[in-house]
Amino acid sequence: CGFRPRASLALADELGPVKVSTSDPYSPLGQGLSVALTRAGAAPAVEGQPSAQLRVLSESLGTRPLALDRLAQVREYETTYRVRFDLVGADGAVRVPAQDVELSREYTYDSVASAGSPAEQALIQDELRREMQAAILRRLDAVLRAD
Amino acid sequence: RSTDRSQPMDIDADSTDALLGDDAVTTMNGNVRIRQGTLEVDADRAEIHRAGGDISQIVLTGAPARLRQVSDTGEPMDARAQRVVYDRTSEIMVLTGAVLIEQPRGSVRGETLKYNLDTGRIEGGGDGQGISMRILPKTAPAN
Amino acid sequence: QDPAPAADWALCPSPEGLPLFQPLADPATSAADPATLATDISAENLDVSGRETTVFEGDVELRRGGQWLGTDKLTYSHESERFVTEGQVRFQDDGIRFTADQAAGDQKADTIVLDGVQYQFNQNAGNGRADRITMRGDLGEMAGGTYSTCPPGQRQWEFSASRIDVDQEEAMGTARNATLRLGGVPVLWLPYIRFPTDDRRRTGLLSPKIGFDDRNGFDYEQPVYLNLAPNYDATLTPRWMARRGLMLGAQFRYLTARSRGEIEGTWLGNDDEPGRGYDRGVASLRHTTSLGPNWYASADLNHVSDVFYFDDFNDSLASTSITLLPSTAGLYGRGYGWTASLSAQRWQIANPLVLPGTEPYRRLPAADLRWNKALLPWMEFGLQAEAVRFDHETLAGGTRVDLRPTLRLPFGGAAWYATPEFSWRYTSWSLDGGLLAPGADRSPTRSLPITRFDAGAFFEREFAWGDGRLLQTLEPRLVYLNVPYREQDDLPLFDTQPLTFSWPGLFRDNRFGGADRQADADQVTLAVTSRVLDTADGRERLSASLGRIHYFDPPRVTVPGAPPLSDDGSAWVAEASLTLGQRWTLGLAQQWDPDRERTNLSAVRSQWRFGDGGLVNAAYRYRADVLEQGDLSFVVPVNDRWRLLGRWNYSLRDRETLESLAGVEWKSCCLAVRVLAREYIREFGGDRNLGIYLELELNGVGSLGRDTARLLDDAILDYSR
Repeated sequence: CGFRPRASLALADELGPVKVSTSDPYSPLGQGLSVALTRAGAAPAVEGQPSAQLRVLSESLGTRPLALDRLAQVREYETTYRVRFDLVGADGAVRVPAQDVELSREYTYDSVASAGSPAEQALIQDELRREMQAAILRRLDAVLRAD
Repeated sequence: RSTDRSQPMDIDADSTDALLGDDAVTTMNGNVRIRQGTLEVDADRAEIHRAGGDISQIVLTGAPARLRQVSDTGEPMDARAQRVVYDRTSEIMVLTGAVLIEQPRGSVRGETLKYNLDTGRIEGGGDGQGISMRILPKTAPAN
Repeated sequence: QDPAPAADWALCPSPEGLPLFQPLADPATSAADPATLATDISAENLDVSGRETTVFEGDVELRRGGQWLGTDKLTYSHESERFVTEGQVRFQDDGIRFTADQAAGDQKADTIVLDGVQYQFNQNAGNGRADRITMRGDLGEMAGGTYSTCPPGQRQWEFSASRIDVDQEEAMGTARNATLRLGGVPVLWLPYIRFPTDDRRRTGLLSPKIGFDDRNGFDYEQPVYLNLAPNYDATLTPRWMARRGLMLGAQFRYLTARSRGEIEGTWLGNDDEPGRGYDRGVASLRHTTSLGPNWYASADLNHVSDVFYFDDFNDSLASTSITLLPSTAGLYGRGYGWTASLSAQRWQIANPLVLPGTEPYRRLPAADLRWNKALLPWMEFGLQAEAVRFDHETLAGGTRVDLRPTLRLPFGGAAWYATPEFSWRYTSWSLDGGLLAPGADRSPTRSLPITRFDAGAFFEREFAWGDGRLLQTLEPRLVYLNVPYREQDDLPLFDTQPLTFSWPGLFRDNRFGGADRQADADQVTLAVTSRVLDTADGRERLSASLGRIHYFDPPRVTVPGAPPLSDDGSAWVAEASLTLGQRWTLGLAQQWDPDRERTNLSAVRSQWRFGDGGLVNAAYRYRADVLEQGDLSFVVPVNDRWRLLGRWNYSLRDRETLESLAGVEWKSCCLAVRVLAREYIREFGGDRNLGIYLELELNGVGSLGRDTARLLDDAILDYSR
């Protein structure tokens, strides 16, 4: 039905060295993206030399009640991770237009037995970060491959 | 300045063709220099019109014609224009063509200016251009 | 909501507004020190006869740097470098323009005094009149002035003040002894207000929050913004409630070279409400200090006076249903391939239905290290280590150390990957006396290998769609997990509970959150995902996934109260999301348990955007034995002035409305008025709280009124986006 194995990731040759920049210097997403880009074959940027820039323009990670019961007790929380990014080539041309990626996960909550909730929230945040890295790379690849 | 008029006026130029007669026009060409009291005029060409023996009008042209005078208040004035028509009866001087009048208080520019020597009033010549004065701040050196 | 762009009075055109007299000068020209600039005055004629004065007459224009002044007659005295005008005056500089009856200027001191003035800011819609304005360089001081962003002819709101100072450098205005008039009716007096004179700053006047609800009766809150210094400011917020008295709120924000933070608190002295006659309040500190490129310290400390506080004083179901108030502080580090933290965390119960003693354990402290090194492109070594001291108000505590070295062999190419992963989990506890059954081991340990094999492939095909090209992917994935069984029933439960089963749950190597339990497993997960991506911008138009875990050997590790697991395998998990253009999104999630032949979870969520800011969200959520709800929220622009807002959250399981909200918004070019009615259930006794809230937004003066974007964002998903 027309499916064939994915050709090699277009990142390496299309882009040249790539530098990941984030608004929050301590953002784990920035680190994760650098590692993922290197593994996908992109050359890491060398200080001082022009390089493509994958810019994480904004990040927001928040948890809010999703569903409550008739005693106004929260029964489900939703953690949403929203990232706005774009990709600018070494020559300054915008290769991937600024766009938002929004991932969210729900988890149940019982106010009576809430001991494990913090651990679950931390795990979900880690998983959302890894999922976000993959989502951003997929989008880069889809655009760069088509150019 | 008002005292200038009572001063002797001496005029000289490279060449002069003077016509005698009370209402004749004297034309002077080349390095025309007129001195009367504090009034100093330098121009390329001058026409001096007489009426009834007295000078009624002087027309000066130059590139530019230049006219310097010290006002009663002791303020020097240095005016330049391509053409200056000085009507002695009305004491009005009409300057046209890249007119620049410089005084310590500021420099006035315009295309057509009417300068009333009696009242000290400078009128824009009604050519829509108006006139403008540039006043430098006291501290800055005069440019 | 962005403040109205400069003088954009599309919604209420007004002829009386002051046109721009001159094209705005390029700011660079006026940057020079005014004292050194020459003054150019042009006119129809001028009279230089005066002793030291020149009189200009007829269409007089004075220019200096960015300043321009036009009048009929102007007398300039050269000695003092002063001038006086006669006849109507028009003045403009980079930030502001006026018309005035009369003006007198001093070029040396660079001041201009204008009387009988009507002014208009160049950069925003702010305008008004003043008896006298003294312009001193960038500073303007108005005596007996008015200010509004409404056009001169239609004063829907206006501030009048004995004195208004404008700092064009800071682009901020400050009014003293100010009276706010709405439609000409004085409604509010303020000793001191600040407002932005261009749209650089968002802060500015914070307006009253006016409301009425069952709990507090009439509720009036008046924030006063104090810009104390460039790097710290404060907002004082007195709030008067008819049935409770005066509550004082304060928020202090600070910013230094390496730190920034916010201290916030409220305090109500002995609440007048019967049954609550004690001091009420909440306090919180958020602080971050950067300690170099890799390390930072941060604190997020909170304390509330009593468990009824949020239910009594917050204003939405989301904010009144806060159950636990966390306080965390720690040292965090992050570098290439490692993260580490040393932190402390405690919880405070903030909800009457949470019994004392059931709050989570305190972690005093918790040390966490994750480190990962690629020894070879296909070999990675990692270590995850955690040491925590658990403490509790009533229960006995203990210490736990959890170590997990891992060896990963990430083989793969562009179209496939296969990653065997071998890790060893060693966990040891040392328990305080109280936790132990007689004769039990005080320092139990658990040690087991975890073997995981994660493999997947990527297939894809491109096809034309409309005028673009789409890329569809097919991503099958297989994860085999093997963890031997270890008897763990007598191990403590400090921070461990079963994780919610969901799509990520298919690929986790532990069914429990926290290290007190490591689930045994001999299972394989089969899953497939297909996505459709737009090759023009990479956006994901569609993604659909399906997966299930098959148990070769049914899992035995469990905790009291955990949902029973079937022998054969997990529930099927299906998820899909669809985006059509920029306007419409749909999300589906379904979990079907073949063993018990029932649906565990079914969720549908869709959002539709239309018109100018129109928005409809519709959602259905069913979770077996827990909840079944519908949630509809909408923002419908009726025309460019009126908008209807609403939300209805209905529990089908309890056949009861959980929260409903209805609102109407009227917007003009300079004023937005919102009236919202909100009813939501309260915690105990099941009674409900009905609140009516009035919200004013003086456009161009920073948002004014209850932070509607947040209030509605809670209720209407993505309202503010």
